[in-house]
Amino acid sequence: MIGAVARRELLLQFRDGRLVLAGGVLLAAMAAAALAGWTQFDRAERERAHFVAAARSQWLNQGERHPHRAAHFGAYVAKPELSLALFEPGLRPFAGQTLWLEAHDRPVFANIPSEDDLTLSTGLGVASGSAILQILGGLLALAMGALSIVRERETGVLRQVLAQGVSPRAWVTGKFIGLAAALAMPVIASGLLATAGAAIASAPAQRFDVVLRAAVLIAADALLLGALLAVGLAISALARSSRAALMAALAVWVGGFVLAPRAAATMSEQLAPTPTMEAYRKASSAEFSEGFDARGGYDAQLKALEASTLRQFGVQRLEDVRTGFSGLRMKHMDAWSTEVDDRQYARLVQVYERQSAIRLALASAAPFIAARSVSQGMAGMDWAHYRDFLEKAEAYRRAFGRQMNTLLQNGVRGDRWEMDGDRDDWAKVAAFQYRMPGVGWAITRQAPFLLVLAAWALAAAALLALAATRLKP
Amino acid sequence: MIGLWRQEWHLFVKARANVGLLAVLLVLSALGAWNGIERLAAERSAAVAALADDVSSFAAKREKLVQLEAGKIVEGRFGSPRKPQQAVLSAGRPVTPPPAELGVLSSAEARPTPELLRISILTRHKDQQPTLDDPSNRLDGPFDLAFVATWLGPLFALILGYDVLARDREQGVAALLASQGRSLAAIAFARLGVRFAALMIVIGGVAFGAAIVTESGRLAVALPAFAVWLLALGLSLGFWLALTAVINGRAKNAAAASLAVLGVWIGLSMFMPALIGSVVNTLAPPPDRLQGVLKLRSVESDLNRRRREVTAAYYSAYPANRPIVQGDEYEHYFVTELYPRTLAFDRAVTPFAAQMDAARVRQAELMRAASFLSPSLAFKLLTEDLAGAAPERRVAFLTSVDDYQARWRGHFDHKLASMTWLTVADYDHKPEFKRAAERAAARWARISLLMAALCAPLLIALAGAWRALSRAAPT
Repeated sequence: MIGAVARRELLLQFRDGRLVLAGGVLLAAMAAAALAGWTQFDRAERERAHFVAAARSQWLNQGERHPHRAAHFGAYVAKPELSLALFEPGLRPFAGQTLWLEAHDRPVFANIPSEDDLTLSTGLGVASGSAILQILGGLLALAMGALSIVRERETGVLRQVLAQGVSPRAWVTGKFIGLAAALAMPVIASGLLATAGAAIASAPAQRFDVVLRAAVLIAADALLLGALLAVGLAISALARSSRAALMAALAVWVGGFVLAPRAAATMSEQLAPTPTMEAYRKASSAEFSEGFDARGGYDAQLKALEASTLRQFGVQRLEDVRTGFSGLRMKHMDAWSTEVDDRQYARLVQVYERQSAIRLALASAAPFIAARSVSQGMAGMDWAHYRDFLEKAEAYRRAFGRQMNTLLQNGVRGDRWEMDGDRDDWAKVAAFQYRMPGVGWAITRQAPFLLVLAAWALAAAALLALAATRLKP
Repeated sequence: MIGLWRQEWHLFVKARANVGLLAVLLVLSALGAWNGIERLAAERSAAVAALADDVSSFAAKREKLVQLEAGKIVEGRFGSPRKPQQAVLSAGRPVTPPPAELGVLSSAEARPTPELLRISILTRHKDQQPTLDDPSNRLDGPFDLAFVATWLGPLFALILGYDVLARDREQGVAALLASQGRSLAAIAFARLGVRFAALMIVIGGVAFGAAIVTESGRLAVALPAFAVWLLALGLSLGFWLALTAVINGRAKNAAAASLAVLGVWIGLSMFMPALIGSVVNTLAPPPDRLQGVLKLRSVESDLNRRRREVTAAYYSAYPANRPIVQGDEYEHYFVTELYPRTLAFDRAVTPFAAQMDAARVRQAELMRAASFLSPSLAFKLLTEDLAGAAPERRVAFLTSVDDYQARWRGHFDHKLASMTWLTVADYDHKPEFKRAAERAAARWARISLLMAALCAPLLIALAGAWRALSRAAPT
């Protein structure tokens, strides 16, 4: 019975020109977006590779200068992307492209594309294949579901079906399967398109990881669309007219896809505000100068360092120590600022986590937020991936800062400061190599959002089952 | 006719669904306004605090100098008020652009004009304005009045207007209506007019309140801009309601009408801006920041390699500026090396920065021209322009900033380069930043173009509505 109803539903969908048209438009839009995404990804990766190579060359060829000034000249790095970014560019338009790794300060992402590119912030964010699948696919799922049962009621078909003793639950299940099969076609097509494109564009070593990530991404989108289809069908089962059903479905879509994401972003910032750069640096600077946990600030520590160094070398004046005290001082300063920075950064991470928890809470009301977060995570374009890159770059920055300080310590004697390093010294600093975490790491980071999606799918199924028991002709 | 409108208004406000929808819109508008007010207040208080800090910092330096000259205090190694390399070389003076007329309307995802800059003798081109924000919070854009008026207003208009006739047709009462001495067209226009007025009252009223709260001190500037925005809002909402009239003239039932209007909204508000963005991005690519970073570093490396030559060239061009006081090697570096290199750096980089700004402006111009194809895009661009997010405002601001930096450098140039001590008179006559507003003619030419981009589709939609409704059949 269920199979027969599903087949009939699928047939009806194919005969309904409007839905075929909508599906076609959806597919065409996704294909166009994926093509544009491919071009952008390809261009971005070429530019990034050129940038990284040129920045490295500039480091090597900066000329002779003081090691500390070389540390301030620093190194520039740019976050690499997985090829799935052609389907899901995630945070790319609004996240900084580069990190400047220089002395003393933890790097902060800068050079945000949307600050220069007006075209990135003028629409409603439906420029990528993934966004089109989720936002317009979601609308299609809701509209298909919402019109499905109520139309049968308005045309009297439902009365005839129920009069024949067909179980309402079986009938509704059949309808769901038929509609899901119709909806699966653009989803499967786009999934194959995205996976194939990403696999082709990917480096061989990453290909398997990319395919696994794509599978999770598409599964999450399928969960989202399945849940919305069930919600649409439940609305249809309960609504008195197709007008009311459509309005209810539209309200769910506007609420979940247009309003909720902005509300989540605004609430995150209002309830857990990110400190401004100025406030963050001011707080770091205060702890640096004044100390914490009963430890004195930098001046007190410097005095202690001077005293211990004089004792260690058995001399009375810093000028007489048999090492470069300037280098020692810089090392100590960096070690202290690292401690201060770790404390400040831990506080900042807590803010990010609170913001993520707020988004998660709102995702339980609007599954689009969860689906988008998962797809960004799988594409390696979410904030967790950006932060992973930042943290590894920070570890590199600290290491090369120590190298520069050691060069200074070994290059001068006593309390002298001036010396110059040269290309050989700069070449001893290894280039930054970043390895993106694997799919397991990404799934772990997105686990709460995946659970929300699964819960939504289950709740939508339960709602549909409940609506089926109340089905009236 | 007035009787008909009055009657339709009465029927409109009696329907609980309509009032409920308006209440939701009111709450959303109020939230958008609240966010705008909060952002603007934070931005302005940060600017006020920075300006106050600057005033007190220079007053403290001046006072210290007075005491130093009177022999009441002893000069330390750092923080000297009379050594220009310590007192003014890197002292960043806060500068702010002239406030936008209606900043409260939009907290745009990307604001090209910095609302607060710190200008010192050193170059401004290395400032990256980094932010610690999680970009996820910027991805969807802010919940501001621009969002409510641009995207939600039309959706509410469509929901309120999609069945003004289609429902009567569906319920079989359209023929009865048509037999009451009023044409279906007159009835439909009255119903849509009532909805138009209700939407304007809600969105316009909240926006007006927000503008009064934030701009109470300069209403003479804000009110004309607000009148322009209100007119643009009317054109935008008018377009969407006229579109529902076209669809109502033809649709057989309400469900078909709702699907049609939703399709048009998706096409014009979601697809068209994305498509326009894609085309504009191809025709006028954004400035390449990565290239910009490489350029800055390449200039910096080159100047570093030629640092002795650059320093020699500077002092040979300005022999009167040769240092008369020899500080220690650490201090000497900041004057005899860093300062000439800073000047050379700016000479090399300024044309490139100007090219990047020109690329931003070019993109904006193309977006405005293309906005004739999407009223939502035209209205968003117009709102953001009035809220201060146009790249031309950035160019005007940075031009005045560069002019100020030149005067600031000029004031201290001799004493800094020659390491001559500052006097109280140097503090008393230091140049102050003067805000220069954008040229009004250029500004209003942009706004007029966007108004035209809103008028054109409205006129087409009205003509279509007139034609569709005058031919509308009761069944």
